[in-house]
This record gives sequence, structure tokens and C-alpha cells, in this order.
Amino acid sequence: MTLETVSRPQTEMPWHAAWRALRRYLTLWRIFIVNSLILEMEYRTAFYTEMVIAITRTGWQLAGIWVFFVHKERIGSWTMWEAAIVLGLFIFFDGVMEMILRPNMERIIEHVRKGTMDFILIKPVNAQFLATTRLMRFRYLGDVMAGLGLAIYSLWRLETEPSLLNIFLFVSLIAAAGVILYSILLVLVTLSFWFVNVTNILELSWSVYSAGRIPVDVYPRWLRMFLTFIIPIAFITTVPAEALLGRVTPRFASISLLLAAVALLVSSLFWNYALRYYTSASS
Amino acid sequence: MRWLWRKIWAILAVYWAYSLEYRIVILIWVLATNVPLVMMAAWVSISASGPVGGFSQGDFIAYYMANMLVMHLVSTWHGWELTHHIRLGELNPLLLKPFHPLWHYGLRALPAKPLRLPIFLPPILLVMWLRPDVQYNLSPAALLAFLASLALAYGLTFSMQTAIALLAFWISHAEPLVTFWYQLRILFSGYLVPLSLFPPALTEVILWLPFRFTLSLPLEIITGKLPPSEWGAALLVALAWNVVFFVVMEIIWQRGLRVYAAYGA
Repeated sequence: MTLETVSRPQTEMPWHAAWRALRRYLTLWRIFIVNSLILEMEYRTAFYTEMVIAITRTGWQLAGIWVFFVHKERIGSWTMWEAAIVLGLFIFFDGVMEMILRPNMERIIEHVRKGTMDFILIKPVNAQFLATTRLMRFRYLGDVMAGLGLAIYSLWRLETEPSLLNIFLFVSLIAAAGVILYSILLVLVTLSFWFVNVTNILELSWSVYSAGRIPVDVYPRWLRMFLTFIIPIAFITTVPAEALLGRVTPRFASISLLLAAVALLVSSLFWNYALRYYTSASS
Repeated sequence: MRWLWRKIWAILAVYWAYSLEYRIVILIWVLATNVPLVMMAAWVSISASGPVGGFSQGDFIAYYMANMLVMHLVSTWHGWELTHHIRLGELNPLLLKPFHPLWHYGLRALPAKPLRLPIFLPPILLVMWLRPDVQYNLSPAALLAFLASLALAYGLTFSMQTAIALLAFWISHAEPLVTFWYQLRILFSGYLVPLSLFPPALTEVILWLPFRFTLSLPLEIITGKLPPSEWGAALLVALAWNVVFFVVMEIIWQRGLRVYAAYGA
């Protein structure tokens, strides 16, 4: 460390520092991922069986929406395979939550309750980064892949080829959706600094998320508004699917990106504010 | 006979105390099961322009509102836990108790059932008041048949689930099997979709499976979808499935005990 300081050139610009920080955090993240993988490989049976269950789970969920289309051509404005894209994204993000978000969020609650958050706070890394990226449960990779697989298969069944612009919009909307989910969960978990048991709140949030399995325009108006503006589930499954089908304008997509940025900022501020109330319960 | 009731009563009393302790958790847990609500919203939207497969909007609402209550009344979720207990040797203390160890799993879920009513009944009553087209068959005969079908559904859910969970005596990771059974049940018991809405050929097959009697039958009776003349036969089939699975469960249990290694302390 000292050596590096000495050898640092005099003409250093601010972006050099930013670049170095980014590289450092990416390296850390890679180490976390490798660590989680090693840990997960201790439980190989769980890993493989969870993969199989992901496929059967996708199967019954698809059967559930398939029955709609035994009776009707469309629900809302959606045909069978269009709605299947929404379901695929629902399963995809369900997997992302189980794999990346939930393990860490549950750990934070645990840390606050036991007072072991100290060990996170004393490390020379951003506490939020460390607390929310440390652990991954790769056994849920099956859901991530099954969901994505269903979305791609549905697209193939529709025989539409999304334009390059639409694919670009889709990818950025997916990223935005991930950030929105992360922010919502982080805010909920941050509540644990004041209320000891928020595990139940996490359960409830999953329950609200469950509304995302079908396109939001199927719901009554008031519920659609709620799922768009209050708890933005619409931006997680319906909107990216619409992008893939070429129904989203770049302008609308930028609203989603803006929303994601604001959500991330707010949740980060809330986290930092809450850290002041952390009292290290142990000892 | 009295000693039998005393034992049953003791187990029920213990778990009644438990469920009072965890009543908030139960409430949260109940609120978290909203798949029927999502399906209801979709069907209500689909049937806005007229009945679908014999179901009007009111029928769909009546079906799914009752669905949530009945699902909670007839289900036990002990299967996953039982596989753990077998694998980790935590079955041991139960083997020492003066009653069949499986009773413990069969009875423990019952005391918490009445706590579901204050959660589910008000929304149902509210919906019935707001929408006159949401109707249930509440004649004494129907209520009686409904209660009988509930009991049989509980027994069947318990015995099927236990029979599968007991495979943990031979397989080290039996939880996925229980999960898989549960997924089949979601699909074929009418939890996700009323069984008569599948394509006719598929419905025909599904009605031959035992899953119908774990949920759909009580719903068919209370929503008036099954004519009273067919109640008796349906209840008899439900009873027959109960006998089959309780026998299968007991056979697996007896054989399993012979290979049970009782790990742990």
C-alpha cells in the first residue's frame, strides 16, 4: 500500500482514483462469487435437485396461464406466448432474488439482531456493498435460467425478431428492474435497524411481487395504478416484456431508468441514515 | 377409549398454545399466499364479456375466495419437516412417546385452523355483500357435506404427504419429492384453476387422480358446482382414497422404522 502511494505519478486525475475504486470493488465481487460457489459445491445434491424443481415449477406456472388461453385468445391485450414472456421474466427475477438478494438481506437482519454488523462496519469497504453482495446461493440459478429460457422460447414461438433497439431497451429495462428490486428490498431490510423482526416483511414483499406473474393491464385500474406507481412491480416484469415485443418507446424506457436511479439513491441514503441508529446489540 | 382422547387432547392443547404464540406469523403467512388472488383477477378480467366454461365473474370470485380459506383449512405442511426429522434423527423423542409418532404430525396443524377463520371470513362476507352475484350453497345439507369433504381432504393431504416424506428413510434428500408432490397438487387439486376449466380430455384424467379430493371437492360442494345427487358418491371415493393412502403410509412407516438409523443423540 505504501509502495503504491510512493510510486503514484504526480499527474493523477480524479477519474484515475474512481477507476481504481471500481476495479477494486469488481475484484471483491469476483472473490465473493467464487467463495459462494465453493460453499455451494459443498451441497451438490441440493444444487441439482433445486435445478430440477425450477423446471417443474416453471411447468406448473405455465400450465396455470395456459388454461386462460384454452378459453380465450387474449387476456388484456396479451396472447398466450406474449403472456409467457411476462411469466418467464417473473420466474427469472424470482430466481435473481433468491440467488443474489435474499441471502444477503436475510443476513443483514441477522447481523443487526445479533450485533455482528460490527464486523461489516469495521472493514475498509463500503458497508452497503459488503452487506448486500457477500453471499450468493447458486442453487437458484435454475430459476434464473428456466425463466430466461421460457422468455426466449416464447419469443421464438411468436416468430417475431426484436430489433436491435428493442433488445437494447430490454436489456436496460432488465438492469433497471434489478436495481428497483434491490432498492425495495434494501429499504425493507433497513427497517430492521429499528424493528427487530422484519423477516415477515420480506415474506409479504414476496407476496406483492407475486402479482407480477401476469401482465399488469389484466388487473383492475386501481390495482394497476398501485402496481405501477406505489410498488413498481409493473416495471419489473410487464415493461421489459413490452420492450421485447416492441411496445415501449425509448422515452418511456428512460423513465424506468430514472426511477431505478432514484430508487437506488433513496435506498442508499436511507441505509446510511439507519446505520447511525445501529447500536451493536451484543456484549 | 378415554385414554385415546386424553392423548389426542394433550397434543391439541400443546399446539393450540403454540399457535397463539405465533399468531402474527400465521397472519403474515396467510397474507403471503396470494396466488389465488392473482388467478382470480385474471379470470375476472377474462370473463368480463360473459361466462367462461360455465363460470361467471361471480362464480370465479366465489371459487377463489373460498379456495384460499379451504386451502388453509385442509393443508398441513409437515412433510418437509418430517424428512428433516428422519434425516437428523430428531424423530427419536417422538418414538418414546406413548402414541403413534405420526399422530404428532397429523394433529399439530389442527389447533391453528380456527385462527384462520377471522382472517378469511370477513373478506368473503364483504365480497358477498358487495357483489350479489357471489353466491354459496349454504343449505344445511351442503354445509354438512362440505364439512365431511373438508375432513376427508385433510386426511388425504396428510396421508399422501406423509407417505412421500417417509421415503426419507431410504433417500437422504427427500424434500424435493415432497415439493414435487406439492406442485402436482397445486396444479391438479383446483388450487390454481377450477378443474372443469382444463380441456375436457385432461379434466377427465385429472378427476381420476386423488388430488381432486384434497381441495376441489369441498369447493365444488360449497360453490354449488357439483349437483347434490353426486355428493354421496364423491365423498365415498374420497373416503376410499383416504383408506388407500393411510394403509400405504402405515406400510412405509413400518418398513422405514426397520432401516431407521436414528442418527444424532
